[in-house]
Amino acid sequence: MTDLPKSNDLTATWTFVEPGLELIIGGNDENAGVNPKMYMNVYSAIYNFCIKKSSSATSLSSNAANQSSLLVGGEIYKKLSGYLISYVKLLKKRPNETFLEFYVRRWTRFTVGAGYLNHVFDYMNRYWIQKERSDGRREIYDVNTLALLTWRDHLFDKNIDILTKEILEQIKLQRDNQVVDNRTLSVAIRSFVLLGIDTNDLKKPNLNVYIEKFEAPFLESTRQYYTSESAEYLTSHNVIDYMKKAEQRINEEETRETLYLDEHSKKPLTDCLNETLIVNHSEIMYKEFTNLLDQNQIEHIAKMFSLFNRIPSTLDPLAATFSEYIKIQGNKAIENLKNDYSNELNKNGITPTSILITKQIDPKQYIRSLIQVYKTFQDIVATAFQNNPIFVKALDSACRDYINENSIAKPNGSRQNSRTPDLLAKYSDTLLKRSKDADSTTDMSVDDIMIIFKFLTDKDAFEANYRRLLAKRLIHGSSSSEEAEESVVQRLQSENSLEYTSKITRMFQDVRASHDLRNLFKEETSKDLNFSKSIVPDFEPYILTEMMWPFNHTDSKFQLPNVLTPTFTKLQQLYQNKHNGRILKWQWSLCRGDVRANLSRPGKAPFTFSLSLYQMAILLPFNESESYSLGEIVKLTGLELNVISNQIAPLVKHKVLIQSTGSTLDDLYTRIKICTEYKAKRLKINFAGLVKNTEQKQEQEDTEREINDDRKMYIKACIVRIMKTRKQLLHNLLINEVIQQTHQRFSAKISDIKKCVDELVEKEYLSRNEDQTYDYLA
Amino acid sequence: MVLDQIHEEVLLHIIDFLPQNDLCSLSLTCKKLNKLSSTKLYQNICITRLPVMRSSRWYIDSRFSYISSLRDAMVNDEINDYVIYLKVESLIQSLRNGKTSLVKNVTILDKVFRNEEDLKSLNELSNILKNAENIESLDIFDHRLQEVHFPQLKQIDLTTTDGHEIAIPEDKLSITIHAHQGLLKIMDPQNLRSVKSLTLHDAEIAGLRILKGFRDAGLNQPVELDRLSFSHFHGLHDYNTNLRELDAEVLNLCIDLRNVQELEMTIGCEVEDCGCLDTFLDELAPRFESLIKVSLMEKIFKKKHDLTEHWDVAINRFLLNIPTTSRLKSLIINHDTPLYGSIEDGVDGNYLRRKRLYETSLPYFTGLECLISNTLMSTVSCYEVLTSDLLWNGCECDYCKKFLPYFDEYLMNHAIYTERGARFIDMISPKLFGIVGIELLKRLPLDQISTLDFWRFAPVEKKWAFHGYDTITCFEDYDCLFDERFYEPLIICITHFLKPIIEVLTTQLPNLKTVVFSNIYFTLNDKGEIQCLYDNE
Amino acid sequence: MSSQLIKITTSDEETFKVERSIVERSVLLKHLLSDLEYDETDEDAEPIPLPNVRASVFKKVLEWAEHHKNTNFPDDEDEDARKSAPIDEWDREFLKVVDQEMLYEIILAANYLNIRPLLDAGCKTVAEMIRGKSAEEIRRTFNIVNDFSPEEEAAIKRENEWAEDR
Repeated sequence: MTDLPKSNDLTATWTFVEPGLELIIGGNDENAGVNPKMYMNVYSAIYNFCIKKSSSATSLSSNAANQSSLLVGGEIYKKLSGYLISYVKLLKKRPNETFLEFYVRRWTRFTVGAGYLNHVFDYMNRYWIQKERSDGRREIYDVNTLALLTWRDHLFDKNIDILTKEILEQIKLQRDNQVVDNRTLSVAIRSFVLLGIDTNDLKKPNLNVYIEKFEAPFLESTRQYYTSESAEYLTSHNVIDYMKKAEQRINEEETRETLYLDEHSKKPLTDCLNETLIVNHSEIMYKEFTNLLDQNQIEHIAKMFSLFNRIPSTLDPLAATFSEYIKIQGNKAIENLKNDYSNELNKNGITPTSILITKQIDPKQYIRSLIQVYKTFQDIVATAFQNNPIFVKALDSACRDYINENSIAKPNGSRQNSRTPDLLAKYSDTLLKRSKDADSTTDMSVDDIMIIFKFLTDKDAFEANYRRLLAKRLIHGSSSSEEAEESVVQRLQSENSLEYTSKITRMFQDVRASHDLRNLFKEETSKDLNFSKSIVPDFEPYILTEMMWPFNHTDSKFQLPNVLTPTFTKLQQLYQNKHNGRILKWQWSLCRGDVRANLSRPGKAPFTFSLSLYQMAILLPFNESESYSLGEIVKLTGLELNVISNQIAPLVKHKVLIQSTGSTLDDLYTRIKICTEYKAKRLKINFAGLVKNTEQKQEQEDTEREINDDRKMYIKACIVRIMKTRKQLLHNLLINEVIQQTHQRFSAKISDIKKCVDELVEKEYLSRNEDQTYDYLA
Repeated sequence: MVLDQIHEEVLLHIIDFLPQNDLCSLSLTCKKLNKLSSTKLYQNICITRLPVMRSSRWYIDSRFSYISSLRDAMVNDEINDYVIYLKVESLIQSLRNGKTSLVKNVTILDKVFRNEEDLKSLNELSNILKNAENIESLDIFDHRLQEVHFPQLKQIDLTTTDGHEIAIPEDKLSITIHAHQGLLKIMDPQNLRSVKSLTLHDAEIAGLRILKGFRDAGLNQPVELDRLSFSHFHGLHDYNTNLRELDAEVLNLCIDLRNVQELEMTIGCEVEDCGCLDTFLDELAPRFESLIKVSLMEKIFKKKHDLTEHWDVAINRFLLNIPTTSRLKSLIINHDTPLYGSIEDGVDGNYLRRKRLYETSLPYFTGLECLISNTLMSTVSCYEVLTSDLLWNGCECDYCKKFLPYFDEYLMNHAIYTERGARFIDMISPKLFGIVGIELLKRLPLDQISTLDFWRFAPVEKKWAFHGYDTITCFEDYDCLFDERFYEPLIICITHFLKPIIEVLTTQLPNLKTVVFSNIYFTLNDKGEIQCLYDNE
Repeated sequence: MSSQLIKITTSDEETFKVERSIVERSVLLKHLLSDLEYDETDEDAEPIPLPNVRASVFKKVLEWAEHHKNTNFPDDEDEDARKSAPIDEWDREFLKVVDQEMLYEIILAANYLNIRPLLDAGCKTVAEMIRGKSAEEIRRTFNIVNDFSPEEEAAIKRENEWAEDR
């Protein structure tokens, strides 16, 4: 180890290390083997120089003012700095290479070398340089930084224009589909990042150089390139091709980004591409959108969405168009349905008016038409728009619009409430009613009910109509299944609220309680065998809570046939014993029963007639006598003549009873005779169902009125609730709050709200002030 | 080879480990060593009333050259004032004779002098330091002294008072902002960019509003910091209308939390049903990607057990949610305990729940080297079951057997005045250890220096004479023998109480090297032995 | 692969064969190995010369490194903690038994090879030897020649009076 230089001789030390440095930093091209000996020699020479100087500096003076003299390294540092400068300055391009190639070749080697150099000068880094920097000498750097700064000052800065120019040229070539060396670009661009050195804080990464010297010109050239390319492309291609092109370009640039750009450029590049490729051409794409919808080009719609989705703000116009389009399609579908039906009516010789169509349209077809439109576009939202919330919202709002307001729901633009809730209730009834024709409900489902329900603005109207039909199903036992009924109620409840289905739930409870009562009745009456003979077999009483059921109770005049009185009295007695003090009102008109009619040819099985209670009361007297005048029947049954003629009609029509010739059924003197031998194909005949329902229209009007009354109550309750907490409120604010609070049930009309306010003012719940406010009066 | 022939950079390393007295001796040996010792001796100076504790095992007291009073407990305040005065004058003399350029960091703690006259000497000192070309920091904690701002300082304290504008100066490494009531007006927040360490003090315990002030002043990019310290409390009825709740958003917008390595937070919320403490910590936790040193300090005013337990749960969740849970090096947890022990509802079950909480979370801090709770004894004194254990069921070594009965006797013969009952009650163990907790806390001026700086400052010799607090009296017929002399034995008995706790910790934390409980220092050597640093028999 | 050892030659031409993980305790050699992409499995790999370390010293350094093979030394991030920590008990024993000359040489070797924990332990050991001694005792312990006149000595004493903490 005698070959190390004398430690206190700067020149000798430098002469000794310099050849090693040549190799380390790459004086002669590629990694010409630095061996361990050389590495250790250079390190040791620097070490020896630094320590010998420092320990021989002993006892020079006790004046410690100049601290820097404590540690040695300045001279070596100066030598090294000079060496690096001249090294960098002497680097020359080969004749056959571009500047960029030269730069990258040299830089690659130089940075490796700088790393080495930093390590072999580690002793100087550790002591002298650290001390200098901590003493505030900001112009002294660790060896690696010194090397990079030398490169920056003496090579990079001087050639930055040509370097940037050549990099951008390469990128342009690549955009023009030429093959370029990505690694070269990556190394060159990375050098901009590494050379951004904050001389105050060497550890802080600093992108100033990169942003200023590379990113800005890069973005500008990108902008120019794509502005002109896209404009040109659109002159010779259609929008669909353009979208493909734009997508492809964006993908290419994104790969480029990961290949050789710094993370920082990600956002500005994306912005630049979005601007030049999408925003600048958004109008022409918006225009194409409706065409694509018309042609059901899901794939292209998806592409368009994925482009616009890159800039969320551009989605809104697209969603608005989409929403408008759905509304039109929804209305069109209903219009078609209406036309089909009116053609059919024409064929049958009926003049189709809008109102007539609305009344008679098949609820199933109507609801199906609504749902079909919804499902078509929901599909598009899912596949093309990836269920993006903006489009989900657009779909919802469009559906709410055409489902509640279309030419069937509001014929002739009527100001009446929408018919959709009623039609949906009827649709539900069809689905839930037991039906002979099992196929008629195969393409219907509870899910479909819920889809439309979700969009109803007048949910209360649906509830009222639904309840009306449900009541019939329940008391006539015509539901297809209890589970199906309950599942609908459950779904309604979870979609809306517990309160919403409270009446319905109560109806189910009544039915269940009635079953219990029936069983109790059976049990009680079977104890006494004699008595039980006088009781109607299979008697099914229903006890219904008056407010919950949609039946209009009127005390009809009626004389219960004697044969039914024991049953009647027994039940009344049983119930009163159980629930003392409750008043029972009898809904005779809803009662039904089966009777065995011994009118068959002798030797044949008797018929079973299903009759309404009224029909039963009319028929029973014929056990005693063969014929009665209508006047006698009125006397016997206690019913009004018009009721009798209505009830008796199906019996007469089907020839159970025979009317004296030439008479009418509204004449008290008309005589009625029972047939002696009845002929029919079936043994069981339902006459109750054949009674012409005069009440139906009445019922519908009742329902309508009930809905309106309920709404008023609800609005008033809302107003009082709001005013109770606010004490004082401006008119407009009050209206707004009411609308907000009611919209889960129905869309309140402002005129209705005003009316309710007036009524409350009248009743002195509120007082009106001059300044458009109301006060709450407790 | 002799010592003075070792080269200087290595000698400087050695000198780094020498406390001031040895530097004085070394500087007398020869000229070369004199020169080297002087650079160290003058480099970091701390002026404090009480002398620091010395240990031959550690090098904590080698960081600063301290100027303090005499170690003899019997000298009075006047003499101590005079001694410190003389030392400061002597330092000023030496600085005048050419040592100023050696000075880098000076800390002057609060209440160095009882006598205000003597403060003049400290003002003179800071005037001389204006010419110290290499000075980096001058921390003055006595508000009676003039404020100093000179350009070469890398660290600066800024104070705002009512509506007064403060400008952030350029080129500082460390900034402390003291806000008082009134609106904050901050200028030049972009200068925060050079800052590595930021401390926010707010008289209304709402440090985050200072950050809001930065935003209002136009700070639009998060500042990269190594170290952040702030205090913020929600629930005080104060004049702060700017920002009351603990708001993660504002912190996020102002500071790039990813780089923060050291964090000190004094936080709390006692607004019923608020939950801002939880939300705040939950939102922030994942962002601290570099955290290695954490100090969490509780702030509460209603000293109730459930509030404290809630705080414990919140910070433990925070510590388990940060990305560096297993890389944490130092953890400092301090509680805001009631004055003299005994917390409301401080029953057994409550204490066990908190204990279980820490037992569950601590094992996750696998990289932890240093665990500190400066308030541990105050927390212990909240539970009578613990203090009774310490006194009556604790260590059975000869030493404790000898001394513990004395403290039993002390309790039997003393009474303490309680604010709540407005009367004297018999001294009880929670009260005794509550007071000891407060006395131990005085070993470090944590009201002035940051808990994160705990490796820099040595603890001071602070003794207690078993009386005072204006409220402790002996029974009339009792010939009281208790004074300072009993303090050391009491602390030693406490160390015996603490050691088994630390033993448990070492089984859970494999890298643990240092534990400081109530400023009693313990170290674990490579053989796994627990040694107490200062408080030994 | 891992059984291959790295050859290291000291200034007095003695060659040691050392495991890579132990060699890498020296930051200097660790850098060298990675910079040169040193491949110890290569039969012809050149030995690494240590022109500044004697065999007897290097042996001690290796002994230390062997002992601390699995020690997880704190990194340099928290300098305050590193500086304040007490000496490892094992290190204390290890450095206590060598003579002063060897202690210095170990410290210098640790400094040269850039082995921070060993340098710290060595320096702390020397610091402990200085602690609590008067100037005269220090001179005696370390063979330092007093180059002060009595007047100079008095002046220094006066100068540092403020720092005396008794």
